[in-house]
Amino acid sequence: MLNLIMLICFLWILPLITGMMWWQEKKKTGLVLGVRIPGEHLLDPELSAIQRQYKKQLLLITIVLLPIPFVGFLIPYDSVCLSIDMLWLLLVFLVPFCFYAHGYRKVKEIKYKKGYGVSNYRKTLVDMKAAAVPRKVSHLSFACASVLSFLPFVLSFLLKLENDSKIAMIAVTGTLAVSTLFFWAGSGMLLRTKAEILCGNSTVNENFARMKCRTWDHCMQYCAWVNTAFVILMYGTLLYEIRIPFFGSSGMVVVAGCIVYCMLLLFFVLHAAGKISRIRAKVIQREKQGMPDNLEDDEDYWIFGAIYYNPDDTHVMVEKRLGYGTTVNLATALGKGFVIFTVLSLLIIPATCMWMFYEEFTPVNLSLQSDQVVASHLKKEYQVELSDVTEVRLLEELPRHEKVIGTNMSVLEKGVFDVHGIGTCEFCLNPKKGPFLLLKTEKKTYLFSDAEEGDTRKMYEDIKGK
Amino acid sequence: MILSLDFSSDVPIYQQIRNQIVLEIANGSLEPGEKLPTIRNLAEEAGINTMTVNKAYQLLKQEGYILADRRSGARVCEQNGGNTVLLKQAKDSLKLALSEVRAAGMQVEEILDLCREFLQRNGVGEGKE
Repeated sequence: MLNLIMLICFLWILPLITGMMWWQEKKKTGLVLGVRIPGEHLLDPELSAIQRQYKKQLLLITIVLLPIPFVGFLIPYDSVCLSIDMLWLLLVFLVPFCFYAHGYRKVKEIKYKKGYGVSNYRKTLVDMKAAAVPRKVSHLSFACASVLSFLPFVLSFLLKLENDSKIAMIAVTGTLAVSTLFFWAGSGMLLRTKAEILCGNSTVNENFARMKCRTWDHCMQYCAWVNTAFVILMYGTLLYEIRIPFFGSSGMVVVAGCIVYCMLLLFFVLHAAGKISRIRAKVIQREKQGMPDNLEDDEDYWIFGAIYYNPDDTHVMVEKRLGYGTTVNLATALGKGFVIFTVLSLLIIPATCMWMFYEEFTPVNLSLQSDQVVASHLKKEYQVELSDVTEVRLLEELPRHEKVIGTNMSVLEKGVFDVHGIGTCEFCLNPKKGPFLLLKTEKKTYLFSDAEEGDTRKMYEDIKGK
Repeated sequence: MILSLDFSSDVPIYQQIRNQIVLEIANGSLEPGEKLPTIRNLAEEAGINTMTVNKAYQLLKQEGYILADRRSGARVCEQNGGNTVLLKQAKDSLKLALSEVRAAGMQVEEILDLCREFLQRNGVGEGKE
């Protein structure tokens, strides 16, 4: 099931990225593999040959990488499958970019060899009319979304819940509520990107700048409100363990909610970026006769056509040359901070893989210490006083169950689970190795197992004896 | 109107801004009454300090090319030739520039052709001043 969810979540990213990179080369925006080439030289045979080779490489990499996530269906261990998926995701972003960077270098060499552009090093162009376009963020809308987002977070502190559940609730609602603020800040940053100079006609540039500001502001507002709705859904699901027909348990509601949330955010951003890109291409096609000389030829500030470094430019965000949307100016403090954050986030991937291996392959331990049953796995420990136990049973098979909160891997289940016929239970067991020790107290029900089958049976006999 | 700023030039940035705005007023691209971007907007857009833009605007205001106040922003003034001080300054600058090109060896006819070409390119016909 996990493999299927990962496949649905990740597989489409590869054709999306390679398709978008392919499609960009078709569009006539004056860029060939991220290098700005004047309109009259776009059909240069050497440049066309490089583009054809690049497209073949994109197709090849799509064919090679596409089957890899399916390998997960042959591997019984969740940590190994997830690790393969995450490392695959890294490759999906890095490998096509490597081909792009290689092509960019070749095109740039041809550009300067044939004199298709003049360096505009240390120069900047500013359209006065476009600069005058007001950059108004809809603060009221974002403020309302933020207040509503933080409401579940604040309420989480007031709830009377078990420590673990309360911490989880606070962490989830807090993180999501902060995301609403990121969309608010993102709107401000996007609106403050430099107005693009598409042609020599200031009125056209002004109108384009106005359209772009409005589009991004609306996009960020939609994202903020979707995020707010998601916070409320997560809060309700975690608190009331909402069950919806067809989706079943709250766990599935969360999974479905996450998928819908991500899809909606992606849709809004791609829709906005796509709209701006289409209008940009139309304007450039229509106005190419009126282009001033050396328009926005800032080639010297682009590294591999995707990384922008310009110490003379105080803008934090600039229009991307590869893909849709914006990228950061690495010469600014915020840009450097963004890179550090990105690198750290990427390092989390191998760290997470290591942690998952550790989690999954460390066996659970069940022991009887004085008058306590102690079930432990890594740092998590469950202690049940024998004097509190009202019922003890040995189950040869695990009943049907769903996770409420905790860890659910192929050889490890730990946390709170909903068990058919029994109710809510605290788990610490290996679902593939029975039997399972059921302990009922007045307040809770526990299901444990040891790494060894014999030890669980012996534990049951010892408890019955006492 | 597209402003081109050269950070590697010896000409200060505020002077470059001032010169190009004057050029655009002269060729009619910036019409009387037209609003200029605010100091903050232009500074953000060009990636320069607001003080630099402020200096350029103050210079243009002193020379009578624009009107600037906090509430309504900066606007291009009517250029009706009534500013005699500015006109005298401009004439003096022109005399200096002409002296320099003559000293550099340029002939009178070449200078006149250059002036005609510039004035025609910037939208001022033969019959106009």
